[in-house]
Amino acid sequence: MTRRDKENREDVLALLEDIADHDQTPEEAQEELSGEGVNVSSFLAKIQQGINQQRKDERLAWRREAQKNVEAFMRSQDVSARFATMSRAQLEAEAQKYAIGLHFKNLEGQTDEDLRTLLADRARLEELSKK
Amino acid sequence: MGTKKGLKQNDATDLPVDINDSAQLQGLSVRLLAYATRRAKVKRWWLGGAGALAKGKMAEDVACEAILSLFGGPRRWEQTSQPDPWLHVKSVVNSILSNLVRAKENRVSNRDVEDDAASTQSTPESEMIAAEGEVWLEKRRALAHSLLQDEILAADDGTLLSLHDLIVRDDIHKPQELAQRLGTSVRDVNNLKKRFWRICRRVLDILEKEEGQTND
Repeated sequence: MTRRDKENREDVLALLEDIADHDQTPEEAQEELSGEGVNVSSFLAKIQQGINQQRKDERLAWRREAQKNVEAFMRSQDVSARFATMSRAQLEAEAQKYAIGLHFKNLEGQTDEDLRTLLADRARLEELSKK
Repeated sequence: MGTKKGLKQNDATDLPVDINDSAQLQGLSVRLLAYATRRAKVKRWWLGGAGALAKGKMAEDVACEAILSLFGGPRRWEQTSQPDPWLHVKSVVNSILSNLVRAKENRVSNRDVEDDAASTQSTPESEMIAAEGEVWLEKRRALAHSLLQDEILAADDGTLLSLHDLIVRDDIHKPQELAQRLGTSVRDVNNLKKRFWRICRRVLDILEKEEGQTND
């Protein structure tokens, strides 16, 4: 086969591909597909099934990730001893480092024990994020 | 199928399809399936097979995979880089079909290589078979082109002939450029392509039928 023969063949391919690429309304597309004997309803049902499955997979992936994080947290070292002997003033000073965090607002409304737990959990999370 | 509102992309509002609106998504899906079916038909002719594409994938599987990519998966739609979901799904269809065609072509050439290896080196017989294959491919191309030209002439439509010549002889493919050369609008070029496609489909059907009979 000469190079020109191959080019001629590809010219016809390019022509057919160009012509196949045109815009239609859904109604026109449906009519064309029906003419080809394609079952459009079954195709649309398959799409809906696929979307539902994909959404379910994403939700499951999110839950798996959350579960993995919980397990990693449970395995991490408990550092509550670090805060056990701190006075109220020391605890509040420590909490000030995380002032932008949601749980470290309204410190006056928190008991010493609450603050110790919050700080210990936060310290464990920080350790985990370093790994 | 939903109502006409929202199903037809861009005409009224120039806004892309909203994929969270089920009627609009259905409209997009049906248009894409028609597009994938046309492209797959052309690819099948190119490969010379009347059946399924490589990996047994049919146009419906390809269109389905492309629509699902709007919601996730490896070819996930990146709205920031391509705001129009229609353009995204079309490009996914083109990409999947090209990969399938490549896979099929590779499979054929690998088999050829294995066959060659099994029968030591090229023999006069294998060379003759290869030459016959090329002649067959060239005949198919010529037949397709000849049938297309016959149908265009039978349609007795000068504009169709001009469109054919602009694409084949002048290598012009962009709708804007075609519209300019034909002295018409892009919308008219699109309508012309729809008419032309009906001719192409007839020709491809004839070729598929003939190849089916030959293979039987």
